[in-house]
Amino acid sequence: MRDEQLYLLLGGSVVFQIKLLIPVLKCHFSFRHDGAGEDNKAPLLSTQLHTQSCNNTHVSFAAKLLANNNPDTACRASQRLATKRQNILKSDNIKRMKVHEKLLTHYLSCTSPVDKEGYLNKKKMRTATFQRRWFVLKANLLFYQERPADRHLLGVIVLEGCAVRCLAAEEQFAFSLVFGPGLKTYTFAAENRQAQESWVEALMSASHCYLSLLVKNLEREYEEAKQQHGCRAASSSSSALSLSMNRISLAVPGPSVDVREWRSFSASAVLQAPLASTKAATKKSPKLWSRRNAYVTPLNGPALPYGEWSMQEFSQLHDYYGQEVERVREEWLKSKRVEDDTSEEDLIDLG
Amino acid sequence: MRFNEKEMVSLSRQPSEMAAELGMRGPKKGDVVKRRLVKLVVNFLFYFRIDEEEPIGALLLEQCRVEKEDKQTFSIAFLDEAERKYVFECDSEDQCKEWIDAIIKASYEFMRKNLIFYRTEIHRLTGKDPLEQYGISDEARFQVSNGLQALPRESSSL
Repeated sequence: MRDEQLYLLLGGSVVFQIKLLIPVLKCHFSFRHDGAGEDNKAPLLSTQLHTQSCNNTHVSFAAKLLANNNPDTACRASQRLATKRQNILKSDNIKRMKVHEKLLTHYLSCTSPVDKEGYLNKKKMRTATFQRRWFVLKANLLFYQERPADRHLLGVIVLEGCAVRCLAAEEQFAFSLVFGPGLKTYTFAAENRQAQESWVEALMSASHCYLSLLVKNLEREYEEAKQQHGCRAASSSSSALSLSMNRISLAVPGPSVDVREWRSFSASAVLQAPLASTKAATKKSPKLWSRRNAYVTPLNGPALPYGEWSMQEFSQLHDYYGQEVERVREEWLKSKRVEDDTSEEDLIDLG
Repeated sequence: MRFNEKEMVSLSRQPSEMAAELGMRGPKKGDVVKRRLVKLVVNFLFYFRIDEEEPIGALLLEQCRVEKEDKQTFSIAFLDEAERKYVFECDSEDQCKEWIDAIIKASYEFMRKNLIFYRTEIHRLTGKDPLEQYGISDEARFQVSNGLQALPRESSSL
């Protein structure tokens, strides 16, 4: 990385044209009007060009500065420089990973469920001011725009490899997404305590890694539950459950903890129960569960779009629906065996 | 549109089981096959120029259709545009099948559906909600009702 400082001092009514070849990634501009010069006729204008270079990307940069007694002209020149800088950053000369925006915007507007949405104040990195934005959380992506109805998407944050921190001090109801050393930290402020907690919890369980781990654990529990309960004969149900919960260790944080962290990368990470400060052990309403079969991946409903079916998922369903058949068959076999046994005995006791 | 590029580049550097040199062709007419290092990390497909450290691009693997084109080739179609496909050429039929399988299973929506299925089933078999132990029973994203299609954001004629 190379820093180059270029000082230009201009005076009088002279037009300068400067062409600079600078390795550019970021270009900071500052314009300063130094007030009247010595003879009060020709104001001194100085422009500082401060650049950083990266990746050996060379950009030809042309700067045209007009200097006369009119500070407005100089001001406009400075604006032109700023526009030039914007264009440089947008140009293909700068190596920037293509993230196929259309795919992201399409995903945002499609029928997959929205996991959370609402207004939050987002801290602007450089100026440390907050800007109100409309956020939409879908899967492991946090989209933001100015208003809910806006077609123009301002940006997206991919929620992988970040920790969610509740900021007790500082701004009110603030929390942040910390990506780690050398990477960004996004800071947000919610409108009240409830919103803050709600967002923090939603973001903590948003990552793909987290979901992947969760599904793996549930898959294991499902297999065990099937073995124990699927083809059982007589023994009654509920109390016999012995899922090995020991495998899944729970870290139960104390009630006064201000900082809650969830780092979502290592495959061997342990699932933690987030703080349930305001929530008691709220039971799920039984009403939702009574219709459980209706919500199993619909067989009679509309076909799932595109490549979302897989042989594995189907075989699970096949097993599930086949269980009842198996059970009935077993019972039939058992009753048949009983019949056979009894037929072995002599019907008449001949002593 | 802004995105956290540095963090995504960092993500692309994470170890992945599915990373290989494949022939890759873009969806536009006139796009040719280019040799790329293709890497599957979470629900993104990153692609690099061979021997480069930073990816050229990232494809979000949601709402896409993965298809076998022929013995060693598969394609991914996005945006409901069945004609516009990214085509990938593998070295063997096994490798091709492996990639198709991995990409389908990498989708967040696919995993969510599986989770809802297991949650429902475990509750049916045991009478217990398996998410309670993690304290996430009430998380909107894991609700059973999410198994149904939500309404699209903009109104559309049925």
